[in-house]
Formats: sequence, C-alpha cells, structure tokens
Amino acid sequence: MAKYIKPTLETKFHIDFSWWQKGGQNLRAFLQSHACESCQEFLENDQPQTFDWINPVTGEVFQIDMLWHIIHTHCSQDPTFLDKRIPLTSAIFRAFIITNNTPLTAVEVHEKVMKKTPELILNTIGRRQVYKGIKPVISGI
Amino acid sequence: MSQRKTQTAQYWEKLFSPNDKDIEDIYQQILESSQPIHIDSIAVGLVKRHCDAEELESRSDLQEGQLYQPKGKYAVDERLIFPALDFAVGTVTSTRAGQHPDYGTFDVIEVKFGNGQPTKEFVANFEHNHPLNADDHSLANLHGLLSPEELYQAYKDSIYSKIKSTLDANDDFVKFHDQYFLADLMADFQEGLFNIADAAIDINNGPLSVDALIEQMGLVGEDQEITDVMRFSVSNRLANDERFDDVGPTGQVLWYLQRIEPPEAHHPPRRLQQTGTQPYDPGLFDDDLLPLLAEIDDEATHPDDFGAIDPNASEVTITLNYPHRRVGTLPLTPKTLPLFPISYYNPVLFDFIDGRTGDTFPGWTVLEHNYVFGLGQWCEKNKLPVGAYVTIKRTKNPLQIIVDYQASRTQRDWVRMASVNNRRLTFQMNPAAHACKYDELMIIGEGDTAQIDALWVRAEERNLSIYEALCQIFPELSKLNPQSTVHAKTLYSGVNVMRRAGPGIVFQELVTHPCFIAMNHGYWTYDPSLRD
Repeated sequence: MAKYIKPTLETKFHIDFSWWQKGGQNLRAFLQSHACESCQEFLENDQPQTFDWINPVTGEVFQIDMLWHIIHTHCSQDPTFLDKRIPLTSAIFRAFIITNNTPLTAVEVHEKVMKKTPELILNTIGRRQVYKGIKPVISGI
Repeated sequence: MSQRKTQTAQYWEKLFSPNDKDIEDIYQQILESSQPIHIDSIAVGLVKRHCDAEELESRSDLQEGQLYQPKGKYAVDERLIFPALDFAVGTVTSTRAGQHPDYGTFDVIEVKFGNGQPTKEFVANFEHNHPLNADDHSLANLHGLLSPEELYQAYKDSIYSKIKSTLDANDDFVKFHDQYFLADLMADFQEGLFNIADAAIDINNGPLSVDALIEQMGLVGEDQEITDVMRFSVSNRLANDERFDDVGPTGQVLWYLQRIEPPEAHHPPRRLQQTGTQPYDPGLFDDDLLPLLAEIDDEATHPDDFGAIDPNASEVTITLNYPHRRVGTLPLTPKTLPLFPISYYNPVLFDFIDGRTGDTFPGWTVLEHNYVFGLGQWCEKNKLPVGAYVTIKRTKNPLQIIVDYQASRTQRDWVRMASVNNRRLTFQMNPAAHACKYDELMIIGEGDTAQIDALWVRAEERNLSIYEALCQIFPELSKLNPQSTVHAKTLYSGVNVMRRAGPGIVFQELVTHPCFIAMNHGYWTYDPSLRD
C-alpha cells in the first residue's frame, strides 16, 4: 500500500479511474445520478458502451463508460449542473466531470463549485478513505 | 523526488559558470542561424541545455528509449520514456485501435513497466492537442518544473552577466548592444569606407540610420536588400571606432559623431554628482516630510518614493531644482522618464520643441546618470528661476519633446537671494522680476554665480557634510522669516547651492539631529545649542 502523504491546498486531485476498475465499482451506475433528465430517459434503453478516455496530462488511456463523455459534453453545459442545492461531495465530482478530469487543487475545485471553503473541500477529498476515486495525482507510475 | 539543482537559485547564482561545452553550443547556435542572436535567446538556450542535461543525468536509463509523445507511432517491444510519469521507462507490449467519439482514428498502446506493475494503456498516433505533443518542450517543462524561460527570468541578473562576460572575453564572438555574432561571419570593409560614414553624418548635420550609412558607403547595390548581418557588421565596426556613437533610442540605431556631441552627453556635470552614496531611510520621515520626496523632482529620490505615476501621461509638470537649473538639465525620475526617448546602451539625441516659439534645439537623454541635458540656453532665454514649473509634453514623434513653462504677467516678487559673504553662503530677500509661475518654497536667486561656484568647489574640496551645510545655511534662511522657521523644501534648495544632495539625504539629516526641531506642515527651526 502506498504511503499516505497528507495533501495540502496545493495538491492536485483527479478521479483515478483505476480505483473504479480495481474495486469493481460501478462507475456507470454512479454516473447515471449525474446525467440530466433527457439523458436519463435515453440511457434507460441504451446498451452500455465504452470509449477511450485520454488523460489530459499523461496521455494514459482508460476504457470507461460512454456516459462520462455524454455528461461531460452535454449535461455539464446545463447551468443547474453545479446548482447550490447539490451536496458538496456530488458537486466536487461534477467539477472533475466539467474539466474532463483535469487535475485540480482544492482551491480550484472551490472556484468551480462555489460552495463551502477550500479547506473543507480538502478535508472531504484529502482523507485516507478515498471518495469516489478522487485521489491526489501521483507523478510516477 | 529530489529537487533538481538547475531549479535552484544557488545553481544559477553561485555554481553556474559557462564552460567550454556551453561556448561550443552557443557557437553552433549562432552558426546554424547565421544571424546575430540576442543574449536573452542565447541564455534561454543555454539554461534549457543545462536543465535537459540534468534530467538525462538523473535518469541514466532515459538513454535507453525514446521520449513518449501522444502523436508518436510505436511498435511492440519499443522502449519508451514517460515524462509525465516521473520519467518511467516501459516497453510496448501490444497496440490496438482507439475509440473516441471526437477523435477519429488513433492507436492505444499497452505498456509494461516491470517490477510487477500492472500494464497501462497510452494514446498513440494521436495528432490532436495534448501538452505532451508540443514540439518545443524541454524535459524540465514536461516535468512541471520551472521552464528555461522562467528560470532565466528568475535569475536573469546572474545568468546574463556570466554569459555576457564569457562571450565578451572570447574573440570568436562579436557584439553590438546585446546581439552576438561570430567574428568569422562578419562582412569585411575597407577602412576608408568609415571616412565616408564620418563625412556623411557631418554633411547631414545630424545622426544617420545604419541603413542610410550602408547606402552612403556603397555597400549594397540599388536592387540589393540590406541584410541584418550587414547592419550588424557595420554597427559593430562603428561602435568600435571612437569617432562614432549610437545616439538612437531603444530599437533604433542612429549614428552620430562624438566630436560634435556635448560632453554632458557622456559625463554628468559636477553640480549633479551626489555627495556620498549613502541611501536614506524613508521610514524615518513623518507625514509632512514623506510626500515632499515626490513633490521635489530629484533623480536621487528612490523610484518607490514617487508614489503612483501614470506611465502613459501625455505631459508632466516638474519643479526645476537648483542643480538642474544651473546646468540646464532635467531629472529623469519615474515621473519624467516615460516621456523621454531612452536607450539602455547609449545617450539618446532628440529634439526639444519650445512650447512658445516652436523652435527646436537638441536634447540628450542620459539614462545612465538619470538626467536630460540641453535646456541651458532655453532656461536663460526665458529667465526661469530655481523653482519654476516646467512642463514636458509628448508629441506623435517620440524623438520630439515639447518643453514649456507656466507664463505669468511679469511682476517683481521678494525672493531669497543667495550670495557669498566672508566665504560663507548667505541669503537675503531681494525683489526680482519673473514672468513664470514657480514654487515659492523652492525659489532661490543668485547674485555672483562665480563666487557661489567657488564656494561649491571649496565645500567639495573640504568634503563638507550635508549636516554641516545645513547648520551653516539654516540661520541664514531662518532670519528671513519672522517665525524663524524654514520649510524642508527651502532647506533642500539652499543646501544644493553649496552641496549636491537629494531631498531624502537632507531630510534624514533633519530628523536625526536634535538641533533641528520639526514644527507643523514641513517647517523646521534650528537650535545651535543642541548641535552634536
């Protein structure tokens, strides 16, 4: 197990798709809760498809559910996507969807979600227990 | 990961010194471009090479594979280095077609990193935008470290001077301003051609551009284009010939003859040379004194003490102080500097335009010593006193500057007049006629200037301290006022009649000696019994 290093406000975070794959977590099911109403209806009859998501920093590829691409390109354009009423944890995840999982610090996440404080966001995603695959970016392999 | 030494100040400021390999690289850089190269570009290239060399040293196995880029096409068994993964080295184990709704055709390679690490997939044959696809990246850039450009900006003073001194000491390189070229690639000229250049400038009765001189010297035919190498070669030769001086502003080379330049274009008049080099501490000054630093236009005042300045102002008005009035100069301060044409390499010749008559006369911006020369006759003609308000205005031509004063109906006012009595500077109130507006606290008239100059020389020879000068003139000035108080500006003006000192130094003497007692609104009294 990798040594835990306490993140700071300067630490970059991202959604580690390998966390979803290793843990047998159902990314599609979780993503569905972030899709807009029109996409929800469409998805009910749609067969799951994957696509090659490309890491915007490293070039690494993950085969993930096409739903990510749909939410990123369509649903996230809705002004209510980061509505104030959305719980902080969901809003943080959505901030990464909006940026197509570009690494963000807690301060940058706060600038997007405009909720609570950068410190509280850091406390939420910077703990030992990983929340929905959101982890500090590690420079090595 | 340990910190790269090339990312530290210690490396660039202490350890770094251009070596033979660096010189060879610079030589090659200029040779390949066949053009003069600015020292900033040379320095950034050198910093980049040092950063890349360190990266390669820190990972010897980087030699074993090629640097991964998403746009690259890779085959099975090929070894790759992944810059964004701390330069991990892996081997391609398989390839497949990529699938993405937006990106069309591309590949995905599977890479094995060894040591039991799970394989990872990477995009390949991918021509779309990706930071790793940039062609001009350095290894350091890819690693999220300061780029060579950023490192150069951070440690420019040190890097610049080390490279400059190295290149200047090497006969293989020639320079003009901050451009460097190879001596072997310079164009050849007959010595006699420079006599033609001399005559051409003389006949023109003004400076000539390098292009004009090249034409006059017959170095190019009618249909031939003047190349940058030709311009550099001619300028380099002229710069090394003591007859010629570049007098153009930054970005414009204009050649002139040193023999017709005034000495003040190169040597600051004695009246402007500061007494001592001690800095002053503005933290000592109260709310009455501090604003006066900005009010008194003196180049000796630290730029930070001028407060907010509009660098785009189309005109500024300054108060003529004693030393500048005597030698026909203006101070270059944050207030006046943006209006004048300047060069970091040489004094700049420009035209003053008399705001009243439209007459033009030459002016010189001497940035090295922070003054503008050429207003002596204009001040005399208009009978401007010390303390007169002088206005400087821009024109559409940056080499033409309007100078004017604030005219008023001629009237006789009582002004303090300086004279020498028993080898001491004295002041008395005398009527004087002036046709301009002026600062009443700064104005000082002069009786016999020759006697005052003799007093100045004696004070300089005796190295009279500013404190001593203040103690001598304070009683002389205070006797002119029924309250026996003297304003700090007047004291500054008075001190400068016999010693050159910026207002900060004068004020510092006031606040640090108990014999000077602050009253309100910048006025002071003097108690000789409290002298140190």
